[in-house]
Amino acid sequence: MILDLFTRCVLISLLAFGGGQAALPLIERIAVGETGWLHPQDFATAVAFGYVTPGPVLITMTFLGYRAAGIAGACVATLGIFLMPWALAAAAAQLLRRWIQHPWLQSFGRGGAPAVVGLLVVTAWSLGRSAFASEVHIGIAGIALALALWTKMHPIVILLGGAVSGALYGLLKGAETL
Amino acid sequence: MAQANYPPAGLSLLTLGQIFLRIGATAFGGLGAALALVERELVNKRQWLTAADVTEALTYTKLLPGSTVVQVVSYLGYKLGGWSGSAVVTAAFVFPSALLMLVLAAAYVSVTTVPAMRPAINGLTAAVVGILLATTYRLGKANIADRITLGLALASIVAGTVLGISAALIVMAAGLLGICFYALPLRQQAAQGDTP
Repeated sequence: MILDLFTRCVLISLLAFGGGQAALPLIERIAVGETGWLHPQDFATAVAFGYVTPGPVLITMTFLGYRAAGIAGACVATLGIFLMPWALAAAAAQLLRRWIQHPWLQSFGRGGAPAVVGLLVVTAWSLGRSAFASEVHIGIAGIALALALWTKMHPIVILLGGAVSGALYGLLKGAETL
Repeated sequence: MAQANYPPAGLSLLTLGQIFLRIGATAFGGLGAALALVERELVNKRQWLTAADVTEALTYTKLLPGSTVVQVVSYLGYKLGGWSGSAVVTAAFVFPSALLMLVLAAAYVSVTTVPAMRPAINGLTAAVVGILLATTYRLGKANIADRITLGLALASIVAGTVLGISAALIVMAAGLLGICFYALPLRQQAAQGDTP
């Protein structure tokens, strides 16, 4: 289990062409879709925490590792997701300059990046399916999208707004049924 | 080009670690925030690095897979203290957020058992969907440049939903197709150019 977690994290990190956020669909597909380590909503919360905490968004993996296998899992997942990118980046500072600009690696990235974009759509769709309990939730997603695209509003504020709106909606609905 | 006064030989890794521990704990908001902090601390204040070093780090690490924020730090860490410097600096940068995340993860498990939290988490999930769609748009604009890349993006949606192919396989296949479409023609052109 721990070894499986580690190898999957390393694999995800090596395929994240386009930065940390490009790894999110891979994490969702693998951790939610393929292994069932997380429920879709747990993944959403993990991503939200990833934005809320300082540092890289990919720290989401610490959450995932903890859910999958406790503290040991958290350590292994964190190490796994950053180990190879660290080694590559440090090597790039001196040894690998030429190799990084090799047309084969460049073209691999050029082909891999749009696939990641496609997978992001799949991830958003599968998350939406679990979150869109009502039109209100679709509205929250729409407003979040608009704010993230066209304003400089910090993701933390947008996510908090979503949580508060959801809670208020829950209260209103609860009041109706009483 | 301005020359950096790289840290004096024998600069303790402890000092480097402390600096990046602080940056890691305060870099709210991803790449932009971290870059600003690194520039202020190491370029302006201590002048151990130049602005050109930071730009260079960004240029090269963007080409690599993985978290760009972390890799910029790793790259600069190497410049400051070789492999050990890079390892210390990277670990120090990631540590505060990993620790905070661990606490949040542990707290989350106990919080989700409270039924009153469910609607809030539903709303949060909906907002995450919106933010992911915005990320999709941004990454799409940056990476979908022609018919081939558009085709690869659409094909990966189909492969991921209808066909249910593993995400890692999809990205690897798309990468190999990228080599076929972009790198191999270059090679042929070069070969043709060689023959008179």
